[in-house]
Amino acid sequence: MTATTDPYADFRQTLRDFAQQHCPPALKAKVRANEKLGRAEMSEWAKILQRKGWSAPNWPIEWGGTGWDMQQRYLFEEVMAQEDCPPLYHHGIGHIGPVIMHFGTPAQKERYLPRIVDGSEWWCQGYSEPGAGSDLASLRTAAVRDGDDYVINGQKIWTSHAQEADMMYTLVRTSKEGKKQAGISLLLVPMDSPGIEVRPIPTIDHWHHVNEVFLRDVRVPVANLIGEEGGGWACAKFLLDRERLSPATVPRLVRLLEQIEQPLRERGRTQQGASQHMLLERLFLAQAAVAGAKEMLISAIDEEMQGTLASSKSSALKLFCSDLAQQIIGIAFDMSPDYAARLIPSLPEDSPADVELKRELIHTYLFYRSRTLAGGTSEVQKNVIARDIFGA
Amino acid sequence: MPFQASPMFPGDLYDTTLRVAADAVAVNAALTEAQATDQASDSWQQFLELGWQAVLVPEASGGAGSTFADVASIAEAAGRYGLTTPLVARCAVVPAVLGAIPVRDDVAQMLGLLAAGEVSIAPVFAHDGSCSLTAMVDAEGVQLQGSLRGIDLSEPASHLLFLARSAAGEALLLLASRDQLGGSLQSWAGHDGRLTADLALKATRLPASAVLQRGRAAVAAAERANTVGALVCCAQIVGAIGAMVEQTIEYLNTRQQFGVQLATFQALRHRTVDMYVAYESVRGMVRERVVAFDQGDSDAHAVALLKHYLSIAARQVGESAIQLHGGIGMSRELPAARLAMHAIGCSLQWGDRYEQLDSLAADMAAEIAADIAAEAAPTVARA
Repeated sequence: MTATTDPYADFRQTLRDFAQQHCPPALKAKVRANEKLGRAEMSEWAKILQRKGWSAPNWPIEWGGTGWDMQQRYLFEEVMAQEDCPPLYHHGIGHIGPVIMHFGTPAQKERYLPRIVDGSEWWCQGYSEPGAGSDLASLRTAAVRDGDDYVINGQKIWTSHAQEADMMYTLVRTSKEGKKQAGISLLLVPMDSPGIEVRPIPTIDHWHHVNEVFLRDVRVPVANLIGEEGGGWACAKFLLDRERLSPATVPRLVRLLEQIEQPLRERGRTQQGASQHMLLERLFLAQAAVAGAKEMLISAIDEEMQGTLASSKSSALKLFCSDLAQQIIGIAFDMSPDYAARLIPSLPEDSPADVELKRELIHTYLFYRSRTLAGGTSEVQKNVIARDIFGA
Repeated sequence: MPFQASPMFPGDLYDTTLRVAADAVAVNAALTEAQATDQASDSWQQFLELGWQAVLVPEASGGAGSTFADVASIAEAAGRYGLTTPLVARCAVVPAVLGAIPVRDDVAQMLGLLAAGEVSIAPVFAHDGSCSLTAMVDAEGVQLQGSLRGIDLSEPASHLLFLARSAAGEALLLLASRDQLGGSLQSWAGHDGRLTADLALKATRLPASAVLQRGRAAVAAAERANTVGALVCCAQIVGAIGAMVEQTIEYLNTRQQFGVQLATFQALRHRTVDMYVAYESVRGMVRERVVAFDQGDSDAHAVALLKHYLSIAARQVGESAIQLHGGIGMSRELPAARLAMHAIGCSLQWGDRYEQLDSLAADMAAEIAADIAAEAAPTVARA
């Protein structure tokens, strides 16, 4: 029962030194203020990481990854979150990259993977449609084969980063025969293709992150098909399973909680009434919960690597973390003075740092309503879990 | 395959405890009220013979010198059957407190007897460090006046380990046999089958050797007792919650109403999912903390956070298990209902939700006060 030394202490220190020396202060300031990050910030950081060989921690060395074990990958995310470095861009590194690696042809891998690793090509995800949200398999955007091309017609919605992406990985219907899922294919669509129109969707958080994408007679070479025609659903499932197991989720929640604890302590100097006690209880519950989330995540990733992970567990993690994110940001919302809430988005850009942070936290509070919607709503997660734990 | 809970720390200790607990529950379905007796139950007798009191006792004193993970695995298995046997108090708290006392022959000897199952020591520590027992220390020993409250006597104890305070407010950690203490005992049957007792003492004399620690060391021992108790109690709660999820699913998969299985109703499925997600999260939290404890991080604040959270989760899951079983959820014959009573009982032990909240808030208030003092210090110096 003696204290053991941390076998990863050196590794952790190497990560910290790098983050402190190489992450530009202006980037850190934006992350610290909880601003909405876009392509400019994330690709700048991706390039810096790529020079060190760290821009794709979850990838094999062959494709520019690190070859790190799970513990190292988790530590990387933990230290980067603690040091206020921008996150890795999930659509490239986390989502489509591994799908291309698993399902793509050698030519597709050569063409796409290097530009994901160095952050030079930016991706968005064309999944949801106006009539196909939780029921994704009902999607109707159609791709019809015409010689060496597919011709795509339809509409995508809730497409984040479409306004700044070079490429969109898109689920399209290539057949109306048989099971709904069997007629779906995964196509890679250049966003500068003629016939694509991107329209921003104004959202409750006053940030621009989601769009409608209209596709009218968009021609894409057949070479842009990933896997088999009709094999898109398998790719989508492969991707979704990984999406729920991102090692970045928990460390970012830990960091957010730390950011909220500080002003709550400050508040405790002048406020000792019932409100402070209620906020404190919520803080304590969230602190206990993030420790549980971390353990759930690590054990889920372990099981995933051994091939024994039950879908109930990855969905439970998604459900728990998205709910926890909302609880944490809810504390920030409730402890902010009401003027901060009233002033978004009209607060002057050059406001003092603490006011800026409050403003961004309120943006984040509104933005985080999407945590329990995106990537499968909580209710859908509950259906998935129920099927698993009830055995039917 | 429907959900099956998987132990935090699988192994022989878990499996063996599970077998003994299953037999014990089959014999006594907790329909009888608990009574104070000097007769150990069969299950407790077996645990003593198996050496469960020896798990945390250092090898040098004849114990197994094992880990908190081992004792947590016992607690989790017992929790699956809602066993009221005082495993947390006797097999975790007492060895952890006595084992931390600097070398003393009599304590080492007592640890040996504990490991052999020849004595069983009930700890008595209020969560807030208060005690209603006054000690007068003189040349020949100690004289005690007052009462010891909330002694878990679900199984007979040969000794008590407790705190008393001198008139000057100094804390004393004392260990004495029941015979030495005498006094008059009043016992209470708990709703979940536990038996607690209050012992009134009038001018009870103990030899000086009964004093194990004084002052800050005694207070620290009581704090360690509560921290270890809260931690291992949380493992017990994880066991109870896992079993409640399993039993609720089995019931909903079996019971038919309106011509269909209850498990086909989304409202019932989703509430069960909430129970399951609570299970996965508390399992993760408790496992993380037990592993940290074994690595030497016995931070009391982190355990208080844990017990605070689990006290709420135990209540919520217990209440859901009762609700989802419908009318039969009110029957003490139903194992899930007894587990709910057990989990709710555990939520009150070793610091309940609000006791933990108070101590967490007090920690933070102390830190804030220290910050303010640190900021004020230079100003004072200048003045």
